Order: sequence, then structure tokens, then C-alpha cells
Amino acid sequence: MKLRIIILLNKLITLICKLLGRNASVFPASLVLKLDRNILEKIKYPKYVIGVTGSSGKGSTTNLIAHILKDNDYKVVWNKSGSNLLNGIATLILNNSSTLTTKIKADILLLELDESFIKETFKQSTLTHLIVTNITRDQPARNSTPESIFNKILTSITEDTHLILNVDDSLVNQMTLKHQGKITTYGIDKTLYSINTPISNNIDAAYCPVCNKKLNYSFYHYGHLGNYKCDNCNYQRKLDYKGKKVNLELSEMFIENNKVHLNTSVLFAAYYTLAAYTLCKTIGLKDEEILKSLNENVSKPKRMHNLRLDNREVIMLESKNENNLSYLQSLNIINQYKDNKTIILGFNNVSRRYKYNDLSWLYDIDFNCLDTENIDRIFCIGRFRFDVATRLINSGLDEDKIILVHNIDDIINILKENSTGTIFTMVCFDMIEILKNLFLKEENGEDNEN
Amino acid sequence: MKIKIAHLYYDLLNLYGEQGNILALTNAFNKQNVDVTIDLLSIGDNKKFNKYDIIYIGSGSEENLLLALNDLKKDTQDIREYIKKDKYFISTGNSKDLFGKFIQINNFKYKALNIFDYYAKQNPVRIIGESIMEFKDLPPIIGFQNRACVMQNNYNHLFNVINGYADNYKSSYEGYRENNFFATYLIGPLLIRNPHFTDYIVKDILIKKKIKYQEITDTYEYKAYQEYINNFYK
Repeated sequence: MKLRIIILLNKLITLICKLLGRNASVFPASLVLKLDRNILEKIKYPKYVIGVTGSSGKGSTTNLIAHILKDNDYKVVWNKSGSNLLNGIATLILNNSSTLTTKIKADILLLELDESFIKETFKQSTLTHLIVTNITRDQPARNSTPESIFNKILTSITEDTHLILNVDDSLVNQMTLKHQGKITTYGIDKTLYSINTPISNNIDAAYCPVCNKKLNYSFYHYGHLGNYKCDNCNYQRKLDYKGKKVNLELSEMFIENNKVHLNTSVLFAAYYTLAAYTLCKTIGLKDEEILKSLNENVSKPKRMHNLRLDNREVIMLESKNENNLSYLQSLNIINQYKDNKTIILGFNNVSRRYKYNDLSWLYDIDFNCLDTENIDRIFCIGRFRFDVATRLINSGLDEDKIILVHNIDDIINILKENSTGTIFTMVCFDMIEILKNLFLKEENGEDNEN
Repeated sequence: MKIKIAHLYYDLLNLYGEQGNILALTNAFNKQNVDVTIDLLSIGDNKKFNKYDIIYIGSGSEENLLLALNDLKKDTQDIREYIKKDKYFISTGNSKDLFGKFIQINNFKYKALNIFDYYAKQNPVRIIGESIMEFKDLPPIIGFQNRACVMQNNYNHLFNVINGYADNYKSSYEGYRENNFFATYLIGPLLIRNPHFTDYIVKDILIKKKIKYQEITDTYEYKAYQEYINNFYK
């Protein structure tokens, strides 16, 4: 009875939040969980409860899986809003549970899960499947070390959970040594973009977890992801599903000899597409069902904010501070535009989660990729603009290309007078709105004059 | 004349952007028109510490720290001699735990190199936060800590703590210094963020080698430092 009242209460609070125009995706459960902290253990779950976790790519992977499943007429409940901590997930689950039967009204519950909070969210082994996309250094002030993230994930599940692992990641692959339950693995074969040596010396999990000898990589995709082997004890990745012939220019790859479309032309897209494919095959979808959703009814990736300054396009990306490999991926998106361009980098605060000013991650990012001729200028903005400029110069970038903006209100004029080409902004969450408003003000001001 | 630097356990203890410290040293010497060579050393390498002017070691996961400890034990005597010769050994983050008597972590006591009398014990909660330190008459040292252990029995400290965490909660000191062995729990690109501290080391090395040192402070590193002090400590 109490359970039904809590479900009803959660729905009521959600309704009130929506009527008041407040964020309804997290707040309701923050209240009702106080009535029963263990409420999520009492809900009746569908046959499949799928979690997606990892240091990066979990949102994109979740989105694509949801697309494939819905496209094949499954009823899916999933955290579309990206709220991946306890309150967000509990709100979602309770709102989608029947007040009468206390059962989730779906065939599949699909959840993007914060890697550090799976245990806090589900006390029991609720997850039937868990995808681990990668484990890399990420938000060190919160996650401390990649090994600590590894342990948190592994101790939050039991052998009842079927793991779907990206074993290109040598740390994720260590789960195959410890998990007693079912495991399905995926990884990507050597591509046109693979490299023989790591971009940087700071790669994680460089040593064999079995015998502590250094792993021998035949190629790297990025960071510590690639094809590795211990020459001493033969520890290596073993792939159940292999991505092949990745071609970003053609936005395609092959999985099990099937040509698969990538909805974004970055290597990350190959990973989330392969992860989604592997999961869908594991729960019984047929090749043709998955391929129809990937190749014909293509899902659209998250849109970037696009604005204009005079006749120049302005493309706004959000910077992923504190995750060097995510940040690098965003730099790669910018680098794919081969025409003349100007880049704006910077942040006022390191994190939206805490007030620490830990700048260590800045030196884990490889900025050398910006050392290209088609970049006209790089603007450094925000409270840490000198730190960003220092980092760029330390990466060997031409000091003459770097412009520091001390007063953000001046940026439009400085951009007009001192730069050319498409403008990419890659700034932290707290500067996106500031910049967007400045560009919009300029755009509207010009319209008024006309 | 080249300055020889070893980046020790570059592939194990390089967790918090600490390769930035090698860049900082390289740039600081290059600014003085002095060339630098960097050797990357790790498990199984014949270390030959004696040939270096500076050895740098950074922080890593507890798992990696223990791997490094196991490898470094055979070099203990060489490290002792290196430090006796007044050469620079710079340790940031939890790597300083290696040089004490023992490291107690996950309810297990690992014998460390026993070069100094201090020891490290895992704290019930991880120690994470900003710090500001005093070193001689230099402007304050800024940095960040992210570590599992507290340090006990340290009577030869490197810094006075102005704000932030000390070696352990009781003391007002942080780090360890003996001759030119500098060890601090501060992590990350400490030498980039504190260019005055880096120049203190560079100047000392160059003067001893009878190479002219010129003060150059009109750099982005110095500006970034000043901006940080202005924003957060004034």
C-alpha cells in the first residue's frame, strides 16, 4: 500500500513541478525517497533492465539503443534527460510504474548510469545487463583514480548481471578476470586513424593486470584504447563483436560483415554504434532489425548550437573539462572542419559539481592537434584564460595565434577585427550562455539597424 | 651543456597532468638558453640515476604506486647516494610515500624504501582540496591535493601550510625536504602553476654549474599564477 502511495505522490509532485515550470526530472524523488529509501527494490521490473556506464559516451550509447529498440516497437523507459544519479533515476522509475500493479510499464528499462553511483541507486542486482563504455581519468576530484571507478562499477553488480564490455579499453577488459556472470565483449579493429604510439605518456592501465608486465600495443585508437597483448602471459582482448573498416569520411563501419551507418563522423560514434549493436544482439534482436534502425531510420545526434556573426558561422560545443579524452574528442570534431577557422576556449569554473580549482586535467589533454594551418586564431577567455594560453603554448602552438580576452564584453569586436573563418566555441557550461547571448545580441542589433 | 632530466615511472605515476612538470622544467631551462634531455624510465629499466641533474616522479593510483615500489627497491642505495650529492629529486603527489618506512593501505602494511623516517597511512576518507603553501621567502605556492594517505613522523618539512591540508591533520607542515630532495603531496602541473618555484630550482642548478641565470618573469605562466592569486587568495 505504502509503495502505491509513494508512486502516486511522485507523479503528483512531478505534475506540480511541471505546472510551476520547474525541473521535474530530479526533484520529486528527492522528496519521496525520504519516505522509503529502499523503494527502488520494491518495484516490479521488466524482463530487461539495461544500464550504460563509463567515463564517456554513455549518453550517446543510451540514446542510440533507445532509438533502435523503439524503432523495433519495444516499449522503452529511459532517462532521456540524462539525469543519471539516484534522484533522477528514481523519479523516472516511479513515474513510469503503475500505481495499481507497481510494475514498470515497459518492455525494457534503459538507464544511463553515473559510474560512481550505481550502488547507491540499486541496492540489489536489478540490472540484467550493464554496458561499460570505457574507464578513463575523469573528474579526479570526484573519482580519484580510474582504478577506483573500476572497483565501484564491479562492486555494484552481482553475477546475475550480464556485462557488455568495450575491451579495447585494457582497464575495462580486467572485468573479464573478475566477473563471474555472463560477459559479451566488443572492440574495433585497426582503422585508418589508428596510431602506433600513444599520443601522450600518460595512458592508464599500461601494465598487465595478471603478471604486471608492460602491455604491448599493436595500435592505439585513442588514450589507452587499442589492441594490446601481454607478451609474458598472453592477456589480451578477445572480441565477440568486432567493428571493422571504420571510415569517417563515408560515415560508416562494418560489424559482422554488415555495413553500418555512423550518425556522426567521429570515432566515438563507431564505439557507441558498436555498443548499441552488441547490446541489441545480446537481448535477441535480429541483424535486419538493428540495421534497419541504424541505416534507414537514422537517429539524429545531439544538435550543436549554431549561430552567426556577420557572414561567419558560429558553432558552439560544450567543453568537457576534467576528462582529457572527451575533451580531445571535441577538439577532433573541430579539426574535422578543414576550412579556415577560429576557436574560443576557456572556463570560469572547472566543474559544475564542485568548487575545486584542480587544473591537473589540462595537462592530460593533448592540444598538439590544434597545431594546424587552417586555425587562424585561438581566443582564451574566462578566469583561467592565462592557464589555457600557457597550456597551448606548452603544446607547441604558435603564440602569435593566441589572443587573450580579458573582458568578455569585448569579444565580438575582437573577433571581428582580429580573426577570420568559422568560429568554434568550446567553453565550459558556465560560459556557453554568456557567449550565446553576446552573439545573439550582436545578431539582433544588426537586424534592428537594418 | 645539457641538463639531464629523468621522468621516473612516466607510464605508471603520471595521473594528474604531471607530465606538465617536465614541460615546465624544459621551458624554464630553454628560456635560459640551456638545452634539456628527457629520459623516460619505468619498470625494468636500468635507471643509472647518477647521470641525471633532476629526477622527477609524480602520482598514481594506489595499485600503480605499489608496482613502482616493487621495482624501485633495488635502486634504494643509488637514490640515497644521489640525494647525498645534493642533486634534485622532485616528487609530487603520493609518490613521496615511496621514500618513507612503510605505506599502510587497504589494511596491509607495505615496506617502503626506508630512505627517510616518515611513513604513510591510509586516511579513512580521501584527502582532496586546494592548498596554499609557504616556501622560504618566495611568493606562496598554489596547488591541489588528491590522495589516500596521511604522512606521519615527518620532521623535515618542505612547506608551511597557509591554507589547505597538511601532511596529517594535526601539523601545519607539508612535504619533505632533505638536501635537494623535494617531496610534496601537491599534485598536477605544480611547476607550471608556480613558475617562481621552478625558477628557484633552475637558478640553483645553473649557478652551481656556473651558467648565467637571467630572471624572466614576463610569461603567461607568471600571469596565470598572479591571476589565480588575485581571484582566489586576495
